[in-house]
Amino acid sequence: MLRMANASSAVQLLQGFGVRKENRMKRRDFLRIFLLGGLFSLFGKKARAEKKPEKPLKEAMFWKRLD
Amino acid sequence: MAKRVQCELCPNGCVLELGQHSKCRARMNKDGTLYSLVYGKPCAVHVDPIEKKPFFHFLPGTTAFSIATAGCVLSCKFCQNWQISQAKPEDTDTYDLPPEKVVSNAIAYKCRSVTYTYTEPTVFYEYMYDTAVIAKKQGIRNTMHSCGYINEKPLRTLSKFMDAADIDLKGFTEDFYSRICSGSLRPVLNSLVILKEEGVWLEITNLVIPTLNDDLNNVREMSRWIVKNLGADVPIHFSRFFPHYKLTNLPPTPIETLEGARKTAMDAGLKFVYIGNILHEGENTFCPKCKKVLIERMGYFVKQNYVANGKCKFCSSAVAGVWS
Repeated sequence: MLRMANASSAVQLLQGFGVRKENRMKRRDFLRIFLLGGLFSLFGKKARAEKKPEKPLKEAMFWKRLD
Repeated sequence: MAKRVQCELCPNGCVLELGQHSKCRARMNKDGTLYSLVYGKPCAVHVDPIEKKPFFHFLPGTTAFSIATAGCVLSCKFCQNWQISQAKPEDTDTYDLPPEKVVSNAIAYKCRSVTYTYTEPTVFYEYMYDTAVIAKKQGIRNTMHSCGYINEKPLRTLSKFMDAADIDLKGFTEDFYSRICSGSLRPVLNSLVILKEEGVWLEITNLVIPTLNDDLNNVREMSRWIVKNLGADVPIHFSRFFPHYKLTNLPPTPIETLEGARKTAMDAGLKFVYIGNILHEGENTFCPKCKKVLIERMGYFVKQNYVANGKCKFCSSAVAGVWS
C-alpha cells in the first residue's frame, strides 16, 4: 500500500512539473544514461590521475648502504 | 650489484633488498636508497583536546593539531588503531598535507601544539621532524605519543624540537613485549631515559590488559623503575583495555584492576597516577602536598584548573609540568 501511495504521489509530482505520462523516461533509457554517466566519470578520474604529477619520495634520514 | 640498505631508525634495523619494504611498511629501498613512503601524506588529521593524547600536565585545556600516517614499528595484538597502524600506506586514504600546511592549519585552528600520534610517529620521522622544526619557529609546541621504539641518534636529534612525549610502556617484561608486541622492552626504557635527559616533558601510558600485564608485582616493579630512573614527578596513565584487533577474546579491564594498579604505583612513590579510558575520580590531578583536587577532569575535558603559574593555588607548592 505504501509503495502504491509513493508511486502515485511521484506521478502527481511529475504532473505538477508539467511532465506528461507519455514523456516520462522509460527504465531502459534511465539505465542507459546512468551507465554512460558512470563510464564517463570513471574515464575522467583516470585521466585526472594520469595528469597529476607524482611527488618525488623523501629520502630517509637514518639509514646506510650495505653493498 | 645487490644495493641492500639498512634502516637505522628503530631497533628493528630492517635490512632491505631492492624494492623491499620495511617492517613498518612506511619505508622502501628504491634503487639502493631508502625512502619514506608517507612524507606529507597523513591518513588521520584531527583537532583533539591535549588530554586525549593523554597529556595531563602539558598545557591542560588546550587543543592539539593531531596527525598520523599509516604504519607501525611494532604489531601489538591489542592495537586500538590497527586499521591504520597495521595498514600499508597505499591502502589508506591520505591527505596532501606538507609540513608547512600542518603548521598553518594548527595556527588556523587555534591549536597550541602539533601532536604526532594515533599510529607510531617514528615511522613518519622525516615528516614529523620537518614539521616540528617549522612549528617551533612559529611558536607552536610539538608533542608525540609514541611507543618509544626508536634508536638513540634519531631520538636525540628529534628531542631538540619536541616539547613533550607520552610514551607507551606497554608492559614490564621482555616476554610481554616479544609475545604480544613483536618488540622488546629494553629499547623503550632507553628511550624514556634519553627523553628525560634531553629535557622533554614526559608522561607514560600503560594499557592494562586482563591476564597479560595486570600483575601488580609487575606494576610495582615498573613504578619503582620510573621513580628511580625518571623521577617521581612523571605522570603515569593506567588506561582501560577494550577488546580490539587480535585480542577480542579478553574482557575490558575491570575497574578494580585499574584502581589496584593506581594504588600500587602511588605506594611505590609516583606522585601523579591516573586512570584513563573511563570516567573516574582517578582522572583528576591532586596536589601531592595538600591533597586537594588541582585539576578536575571529565573525560578529555578540564572542568576546573587550580594550577596557577605552575603552583597549587591552595598551598603554593610547585606542580611538575608545562603550564604555559
